[in-house]
Amino acid sequence: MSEPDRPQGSQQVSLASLRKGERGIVASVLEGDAAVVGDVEGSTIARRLLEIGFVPGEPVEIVEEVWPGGDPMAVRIGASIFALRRREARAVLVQVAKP
Amino acid sequence: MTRFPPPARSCRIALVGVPNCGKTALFNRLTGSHQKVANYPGVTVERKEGAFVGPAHTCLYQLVDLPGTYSLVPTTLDEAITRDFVAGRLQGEAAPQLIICVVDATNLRLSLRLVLELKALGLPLILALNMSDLARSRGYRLDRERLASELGVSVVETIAVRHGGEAGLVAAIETQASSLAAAAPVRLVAPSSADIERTQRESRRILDAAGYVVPLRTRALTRLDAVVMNPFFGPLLLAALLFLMFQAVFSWAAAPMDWISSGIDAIGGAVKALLPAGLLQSLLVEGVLAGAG
Repeated sequence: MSEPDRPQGSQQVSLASLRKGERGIVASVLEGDAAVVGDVEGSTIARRLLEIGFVPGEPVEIVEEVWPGGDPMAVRIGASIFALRRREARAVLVQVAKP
Repeated sequence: MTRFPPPARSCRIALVGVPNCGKTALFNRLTGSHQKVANYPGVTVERKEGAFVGPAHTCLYQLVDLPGTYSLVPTTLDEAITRDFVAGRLQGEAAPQLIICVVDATNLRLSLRLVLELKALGLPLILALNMSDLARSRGYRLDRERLASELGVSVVETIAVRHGGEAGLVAAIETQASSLAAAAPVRLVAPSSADIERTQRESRRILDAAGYVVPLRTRALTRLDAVVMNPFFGPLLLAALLFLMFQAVFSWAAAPMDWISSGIDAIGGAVKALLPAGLLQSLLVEGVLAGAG
Protein backbone atom coordinates (compact mmCIF):
# COMPACT_ATOMS: atom_id res chain seq x y z
CA MET A 1 0.00 0.00 0.00
CA SER A 2 1.35 3.42 -0.83
CA GLU A 3 -1.06 6.25 -0.14
CA PRO A 4 0.83 9.53 -0.19
CA ASP A 5 -0.77 11.05 2.95
CA ARG A 6 0.29 8.17 5.18
CA PRO A 7 2.73 9.20 7.92
CA GLN A 8 6.11 7.51 7.87
CA GLY A 9 6.78 4.61 10.22
CA SER A 10 3.21 3.52 10.66
CA GLN A 11 1.02 0.71 9.38
CA GLN A 12 -2.62 -0.21 9.12
CA VAL A 13 -3.88 -3.17 11.09
CA SER A 14 -7.26 -4.47 12.13
CA LEU A 15 -8.59 -3.19 15.46
CA ALA A 16 -9.22 -6.85 16.33
CA SER A 17 -5.48 -7.54 16.34
CA LEU A 18 -4.65 -4.97 19.03
CA ARG A 19 -3.98 -6.06 22.60
CA LYS A 20 -4.68 -4.40 25.91
CA GLY A 21 -3.06 -0.98 26.26
CA GLU A 22 -2.38 -0.55 22.55
CA ARG A 23 -3.51 2.59 20.76
CA GLY A 24 -4.16 3.65 17.22
CA ILE A 25 -6.00 6.07 14.97
CA VAL A 26 -9.05 4.89 13.05
CA ALA A 27 -8.14 4.76 9.36
CA SER A 28 -11.32 3.33 7.87
CA VAL A 29 -14.36 1.23 8.64
CA LEU A 30 -14.98 -1.56 6.18
CA GLU A 31 -18.47 -2.07 4.90
CA GLY A 32 -17.21 -5.37 3.42
CA ASP A 33 -18.28 -8.62 5.08
CA ALA A 34 -21.30 -6.89 6.52
CA ALA A 35 -22.88 -9.19 9.04
CA VAL A 36 -26.37 -8.15 10.06
CA VAL A 37 -26.57 -6.74 13.58
CA GLY A 38 -29.59 -7.51 15.71
CA ASP A 39 -32.77 -8.44 13.95
CA VAL A 40 -33.35 -5.67 11.47
CA GLU A 41 -32.47 -6.15 7.84
CA GLY A 42 -30.01 -3.73 6.28
CA SER A 43 -28.19 -2.90 9.51
CA THR A 44 -24.49 -3.59 9.47
CA ILE A 45 -21.74 -3.55 12.04
CA ALA A 46 -19.82 -0.97 10.04
CA ARG A 47 -22.75 1.42 10.09
CA ARG A 48 -23.33 1.05 13.81
CA LEU A 49 -19.62 1.49 14.54
CA LEU A 50 -19.62 4.68 12.50
CA GLU A 51 -22.69 5.89 14.35
CA ILE A 52 -21.18 5.40 17.78
CA GLY A 53 -18.06 7.31 16.80
CA PHE A 54 -15.60 5.02 14.99
CA VAL A 55 -14.86 7.56 12.28
CA PRO A 56 -11.52 8.02 10.49
CA GLY A 57 -9.09 10.18 12.45
CA GLU A 58 -10.43 9.27 15.87
CA PRO A 59 -7.95 7.85 18.42
CA VAL A 60 -8.77 4.46 19.92
CA GLU A 61 -7.30 2.49 22.80
CA ILE A 62 -7.91 -1.02 24.05
CA VAL A 63 -8.51 -0.45 27.76
CA GLU A 64 -9.46 -3.95 28.81
CA GLU A 65 -9.68 -7.51 27.55
CA VAL A 66 -11.82 -10.18 29.06
CA TRP A 67 -9.76 -13.00 30.47
CA PRO A 68 -9.33 -15.67 29.11
CA GLY A 69 -9.11 -15.25 25.36
CA GLY A 70 -9.25 -11.46 25.21
CA ASP A 71 -12.72 -11.48 23.69
CA PRO A 72 -14.71 -9.27 24.09
CA MET A 73 -12.65 -6.19 24.73
CA ALA A 74 -13.27 -2.67 25.99
CA VAL A 75 -12.35 0.01 23.49
CA ARG A 76 -12.08 3.68 24.34
CA ILE A 77 -13.07 6.01 21.53
CA GLY A 78 -13.18 9.69 22.37
CA ALA A 79 -14.64 9.92 25.86
CA SER A 80 -16.69 6.73 25.61
CA ILE A 81 -15.78 3.11 26.24
CA PHE A 82 -17.53 0.38 24.27
CA ALA A 83 -17.41 -3.38 24.61
CA LEU A 84 -16.67 -4.97 21.24
CA ARG A 85 -16.29 -8.54 20.09
CA ARG A 86 -13.13 -9.20 18.13
CA ARG A 87 -15.35 -10.30 15.27
CA GLU A 88 -16.99 -6.86 15.20
CA ALA A 89 -13.69 -5.04 15.64
CA ARG A 90 -12.44 -6.65 12.42
CA ALA A 91 -14.45 -4.05 10.50
CA VAL A 92 -12.21 -1.25 11.82
CA LEU A 93 -8.77 -0.56 10.34
CA VAL A 94 -6.45 1.43 12.57
CA GLN A 95 -3.21 3.23 11.97
CA VAL A 96 -0.56 2.21 14.50
CA ALA A 97 3.05 3.20 14.98
CA LYS A 98 5.43 0.62 13.54
CA PRO A 99 7.16 -1.39 16.26
CA MET B 1 -56.93 24.45 44.67
CA THR B 2 -58.05 26.19 41.51
CA ARG B 3 -59.57 23.98 38.87
CA PHE B 4 -58.92 24.92 35.29
CA PRO B 5 -61.06 23.81 32.38
CA PRO B 6 -59.24 21.32 30.15
CA PRO B 7 -57.08 23.05 27.51
CA ALA B 8 -58.70 23.45 24.12
CA ARG B 9 -55.76 22.12 22.13
CA SER B 10 -53.51 19.16 22.40
CA CYS B 11 -50.02 18.68 21.07
CA ARG B 12 -48.20 15.44 20.37
CA ILE B 13 -44.55 15.24 21.40
CA ALA B 14 -42.01 12.46 20.90
CA LEU B 15 -39.14 12.03 23.36
CA VAL B 16 -36.07 10.64 21.59
CA GLY B 17 -32.51 10.03 22.73
CA VAL B 18 -29.60 7.60 22.87
CA PRO B 19 -29.79 4.85 25.53
CA ASN B 20 -29.01 5.97 29.10
CA CYS B 21 -29.31 9.71 28.51
CA GLY B 22 -31.92 10.14 31.24
CA LYS B 23 -34.83 10.27 28.82
CA THR B 24 -37.22 8.31 31.01
CA ALA B 25 -36.26 10.28 34.12
CA LEU B 26 -37.12 13.45 32.21
CA PHE B 27 -40.37 11.86 31.01
CA ASN B 28 -41.31 11.07 34.62
CA ARG B 29 -40.36 14.57 35.72
CA LEU B 30 -42.56 16.14 33.03
CA THR B 31 -45.62 13.92 33.32
CA GLY B 32 -45.56 12.99 37.00
CA SER B 33 -48.01 10.18 37.64
CA HIS B 34 -50.11 10.80 34.57
CA GLN B 35 -48.78 7.91 32.54
CA LYS B 36 -50.11 5.00 30.57
CA VAL B 37 -47.88 2.01 29.97
CA ALA B 38 -48.65 -0.59 27.32
CA ASN B 39 -46.96 -2.46 24.49
CA TYR B 40 -46.80 -1.55 20.84
CA PRO B 41 -49.19 -3.88 19.03
CA GLY B 42 -47.65 -7.25 18.26
CA VAL B 43 -44.21 -6.61 19.75
CA THR B 44 -42.83 -6.68 23.28
CA VAL B 45 -41.61 -3.11 23.13
CA GLU B 46 -42.93 -0.94 25.93
CA ARG B 47 -44.95 2.09 24.99
CA LYS B 48 -45.06 4.86 27.58
CA GLU B 49 -47.33 7.81 27.11
CA GLY B 50 -48.01 10.63 29.52
CA ALA B 51 -49.65 14.02 29.48
CA PHE B 52 -49.05 17.34 31.14
CA VAL B 53 -50.28 20.92 30.99
CA GLY B 54 -47.82 23.81 30.95
CA PRO B 55 -48.09 26.86 33.21
CA ALA B 56 -49.77 28.88 30.42
CA HIS B 57 -52.52 26.27 30.37
CA THR B 58 -53.24 26.58 26.68
CA CYS B 59 -52.36 23.13 25.47
CA LEU B 60 -52.40 19.54 26.67
CA TYR B 61 -49.04 18.00 25.85
CA GLN B 62 -49.16 14.30 25.02
CA LEU B 63 -45.69 12.94 25.46
CA VAL B 64 -44.49 9.56 24.18
CA ASP B 65 -41.27 8.16 25.63
CA LEU B 66 -39.61 6.23 22.78
CA PRO B 67 -37.00 3.47 23.11
CA GLY B 68 -33.41 4.73 23.14
CA THR B 69 -31.57 4.68 19.82
CA TYR B 70 -28.24 5.76 18.37
CA SER B 71 -29.63 6.28 14.94
CA LEU B 72 -32.67 6.30 12.69
CA VAL B 73 -31.22 3.24 10.96
CA PRO B 74 -32.40 0.58 13.38
CA THR B 75 -30.54 -2.55 14.43
CA THR B 76 -33.18 -3.72 16.88
CA LEU B 77 -36.95 -3.88 17.09
CA ASP B 78 -36.98 -1.09 19.69
CA GLU B 79 -35.00 1.20 17.44
CA ALA B 80 -37.29 0.40 14.51
CA ILE B 81 -40.26 1.48 16.65
CA THR B 82 -38.55 4.79 17.41
CA ARG B 83 -37.79 5.43 13.75
CA ASP B 84 -41.29 4.55 12.60
CA PHE B 85 -42.88 6.63 15.33
CA VAL B 86 -40.99 9.83 14.61
CA ALA B 87 -41.63 9.38 10.89
CA GLY B 88 -45.32 8.93 11.63
CA ARG B 89 -45.59 5.61 9.87
CA LEU B 90 -46.33 3.38 12.82
CA GLN B 91 -49.72 1.68 12.49
CA GLY B 92 -52.33 3.32 14.70
CA GLU B 93 -50.07 6.14 15.89
CA ALA B 94 -50.43 9.75 14.87
CA ALA B 95 -47.20 11.45 13.81
CA PRO B 96 -45.54 13.70 16.40
CA GLN B 97 -45.74 17.48 15.95
CA LEU B 98 -42.63 18.15 17.97
CA ILE B 99 -39.55 16.12 18.84
CA ILE B 100 -37.60 16.56 22.03
CA CYS B 101 -34.17 15.07 21.66
CA VAL B 102 -32.62 14.32 25.04
CA VAL B 103 -28.83 14.16 25.20
CA ASP B 104 -26.43 13.48 28.04
CA ALA B 105 -24.45 16.70 28.44
CA THR B 106 -21.47 14.66 29.61
CA ASN B 107 -21.45 12.63 26.39
CA LEU B 108 -22.45 14.99 23.61
CA ARG B 109 -20.13 13.42 21.05
CA LEU B 110 -22.19 10.26 21.09
CA SER B 111 -25.56 11.91 20.64
CA LEU B 112 -25.12 14.97 18.47
CA ARG B 113 -25.13 12.91 15.29
CA LEU B 114 -28.61 11.65 16.18
CA VAL B 115 -29.68 15.25 16.69
CA LEU B 116 -28.55 16.09 13.15
CA GLU B 117 -30.39 13.06 11.81
CA LEU B 118 -33.58 14.09 13.61
CA LYS B 119 -33.22 17.66 12.41
CA ALA B 120 -33.06 16.42 8.83
CA LEU B 121 -36.59 15.06 9.28
CA GLY B 122 -37.78 18.65 9.18
CA LEU B 123 -39.98 18.42 12.27
CA PRO B 124 -39.80 21.07 15.00
CA LEU B 125 -37.05 20.00 17.39
CA ILE B 126 -35.92 20.95 20.88
CA LEU B 127 -32.59 19.75 22.25
CA ALA B 128 -32.60 18.99 25.97
CA LEU B 129 -29.11 18.98 27.50
CA ASN B 130 -29.78 16.59 30.33
CA MET B 131 -27.53 16.09 33.38
CA SER B 132 -26.28 19.62 32.81
CA ASP B 133 -25.59 20.04 36.54
CA LEU B 134 -23.32 16.99 36.50
CA ALA B 135 -21.56 18.23 33.37
CA ARG B 136 -20.88 21.59 34.96
CA SER B 137 -19.61 20.21 38.24
CA ARG B 138 -17.31 17.79 36.41
CA GLY B 139 -15.75 20.59 34.42
CA TYR B 140 -17.42 20.20 31.01
CA ARG B 141 -17.69 23.45 29.12
CA LEU B 142 -20.12 24.37 26.36
CA ASP B 143 -21.44 27.57 24.80
CA ARG B 144 -25.14 26.71 24.72
CA GLU B 145 -26.19 29.68 22.61
CA ARG B 146 -23.52 28.93 20.04
CA LEU B 147 -24.64 25.31 19.93
CA ALA B 148 -28.22 26.46 19.35
CA SER B 149 -27.23 28.79 16.53
CA GLU B 150 -24.97 26.21 14.87
CA LEU B 151 -27.70 23.57 15.04
CA GLY B 152 -30.55 25.91 14.28
CA VAL B 153 -32.71 24.46 17.04
CA SER B 154 -33.52 25.64 20.55
CA VAL B 155 -31.26 24.15 23.19
CA VAL B 156 -32.28 24.00 26.85
CA GLU B 157 -30.59 22.63 29.93
CA THR B 158 -32.45 20.07 32.02
CA ILE B 159 -31.80 18.24 35.27
CA ALA B 160 -34.23 15.35 35.20
CA VAL B 161 -33.44 14.20 38.72
CA ARG B 162 -34.16 17.53 40.38
CA HIS B 163 -37.48 19.16 41.10
CA GLY B 164 -37.87 22.11 38.73
CA GLY B 165 -35.07 20.82 36.50
CA GLU B 166 -37.54 20.64 33.61
CA ALA B 167 -38.70 24.28 33.78
CA GLY B 168 -36.55 25.51 30.90
CA LEU B 169 -37.76 22.70 28.68
CA VAL B 170 -41.42 23.35 29.49
CA ALA B 171 -40.93 27.03 28.64
CA ALA B 172 -39.34 26.08 25.30
CA ILE B 173 -42.20 23.69 24.54
CA GLU B 174 -44.76 26.41 25.28
CA THR B 175 -42.96 28.83 23.00
CA GLN B 176 -43.02 26.38 20.11
CA ALA B 177 -46.49 24.96 20.77
CA SER B 178 -48.30 28.06 19.54
CA SER B 179 -46.91 27.66 16.04
CA LEU B 180 -47.03 23.88 15.57
CA ALA B 181 -48.46 22.43 12.40
CA ALA B 182 -50.80 19.45 12.30
CA ALA B 183 -49.04 16.10 12.45
CA ALA B 184 -48.08 14.58 9.12
CA PRO B 185 -45.84 11.63 8.24
CA VAL B 186 -42.38 12.56 6.97
CA ARG B 187 -40.32 10.87 4.30
CA LEU B 188 -37.37 8.88 5.52
CA VAL B 189 -34.23 8.42 3.49
CA ALA B 190 -31.86 5.77 4.85
CA PRO B 191 -28.39 7.34 5.08
CA SER B 192 -25.39 5.64 3.49
CA SER B 193 -22.12 5.06 5.33
CA ALA B 194 -20.76 8.18 3.66
CA ASP B 195 -23.73 10.15 4.98
CA ILE B 196 -23.05 8.87 8.50
CA GLU B 197 -19.41 9.91 8.26
CA ARG B 198 -20.48 13.31 6.99
CA THR B 199 -22.89 13.86 9.89
CA GLN B 200 -20.17 12.70 12.31
CA ARG B 201 -17.78 15.30 10.89
CA GLU B 202 -20.50 17.94 11.06
CA SER B 203 -21.24 17.13 14.70
CA ARG B 204 -17.51 17.35 15.53
CA ARG B 205 -17.35 20.72 13.82
CA ILE B 206 -20.38 22.01 15.73
CA LEU B 207 -19.03 20.82 19.07
CA ASP B 208 -15.67 22.46 18.39
CA ALA B 209 -17.40 25.68 17.38
CA ALA B 210 -19.48 25.61 20.57
CA GLY B 211 -16.30 25.12 22.60
CA TYR B 212 -17.27 21.75 24.02
CA VAL B 213 -14.55 20.71 26.44
CA VAL B 214 -14.49 17.26 27.99
CA PRO B 215 -12.43 17.07 31.19
CA LEU B 216 -9.83 14.34 31.46
CA ARG B 217 -10.93 11.19 33.22
CA THR B 218 -9.85 11.45 36.83
CA ARG B 219 -6.90 9.36 37.88
CA ALA B 220 -8.74 8.00 40.94
CA LEU B 221 -11.46 6.53 38.73
CA THR B 222 -8.93 4.92 36.42
CA ARG B 223 -7.09 3.39 39.36
CA LEU B 224 -10.31 2.12 40.91
CA ASP B 225 -11.21 0.50 37.58
CA ALA B 226 -7.81 -1.15 37.42
CA VAL B 227 -8.45 -2.88 40.77
CA VAL B 228 -12.13 -3.80 40.60
CA MET B 229 -11.95 -4.92 36.97
CA ASN B 230 -8.81 -6.99 37.52
CA PRO B 231 -9.45 -10.67 36.67
CA PHE B 232 -7.90 -11.76 39.98
CA PHE B 233 -8.70 -8.98 42.47
CA GLY B 234 -12.19 -8.25 41.07
CA PRO B 235 -13.70 -11.66 41.94
CA LEU B 236 -11.77 -11.65 45.22
CA LEU B 237 -13.36 -8.31 46.12
CA LEU B 238 -16.78 -9.68 45.17
CA ALA B 239 -16.27 -12.78 47.31
CA ALA B 240 -15.22 -10.62 50.27
CA LEU B 241 -18.31 -8.42 49.88
CA LEU B 242 -20.63 -11.44 49.63
CA PHE B 243 -18.97 -12.99 52.71
CA LEU B 244 -19.57 -9.75 54.62
CA MET B 245 -23.24 -9.80 53.61
CA PHE B 246 -23.71 -13.40 54.76
CA GLN B 247 -21.97 -12.56 58.02
CA ALA B 248 -24.27 -9.59 58.49
CA VAL B 249 -27.40 -11.67 57.89
CA PHE B 250 -26.50 -14.83 59.80
CA SER B 251 -24.34 -13.80 62.76
CA TRP B 252 -24.30 -10.05 63.33
CA ALA B 253 -28.08 -9.85 62.97
CA ALA B 254 -28.56 -12.07 66.05
CA ALA B 255 -28.06 -9.22 68.56
CA PRO B 256 -30.61 -6.78 67.04
CA MET B 257 -33.04 -9.71 66.65
CA ASP B 258 -32.76 -10.41 70.38
CA TRP B 259 -33.34 -6.73 71.19
CA ILE B 260 -36.47 -6.69 69.06
CA SER B 261 -37.92 -9.86 70.57
CA SER B 262 -37.22 -8.79 74.16
CA GLY B 263 -38.65 -5.33 73.38
CA ILE B 264 -41.84 -6.88 72.03
CA ASP B 265 -42.10 -9.15 75.06
CA ALA B 266 -41.76 -6.13 77.35
CA ILE B 267 -44.51 -4.24 75.52
CA GLY B 268 -46.68 -7.37 75.62
CA GLY B 269 -46.20 -7.62 79.39
CA ALA B 270 -47.12 -3.96 79.81
CA VAL B 271 -50.28 -4.36 77.72
CA LYS B 272 -51.25 -7.47 79.72
CA ALA B 273 -50.88 -5.54 82.95
CA LEU B 274 -52.83 -2.58 81.61
CA LEU B 275 -55.79 -4.30 79.96
CA PRO B 276 -58.25 -6.74 81.56
CA ALA B 277 -58.01 -10.31 80.26
CA GLY B 278 -60.35 -10.82 77.33
CA LEU B 279 -60.71 -10.62 73.60
CA LEU B 280 -59.00 -7.24 73.15
CA GLN B 281 -56.00 -8.14 75.30
CA SER B 282 -55.60 -11.45 73.50
CA LEU B 283 -55.88 -9.74 70.10
CA LEU B 284 -53.22 -7.14 70.95
CA VAL B 285 -50.75 -9.42 72.73
CA GLU B 286 -51.11 -12.72 70.84
CA GLY B 287 -52.09 -11.22 67.51
CA VAL B 288 -50.70 -7.78 66.79
CA LEU B 289 -47.56 -7.76 68.95
CA ALA B 290 -46.63 -11.41 68.46
CA GLY B 291 -47.16 -10.95 64.74
CA ALA B 292 -45.00 -7.83 64.59
CA GLY B 293 -42.20 -9.39 66.64
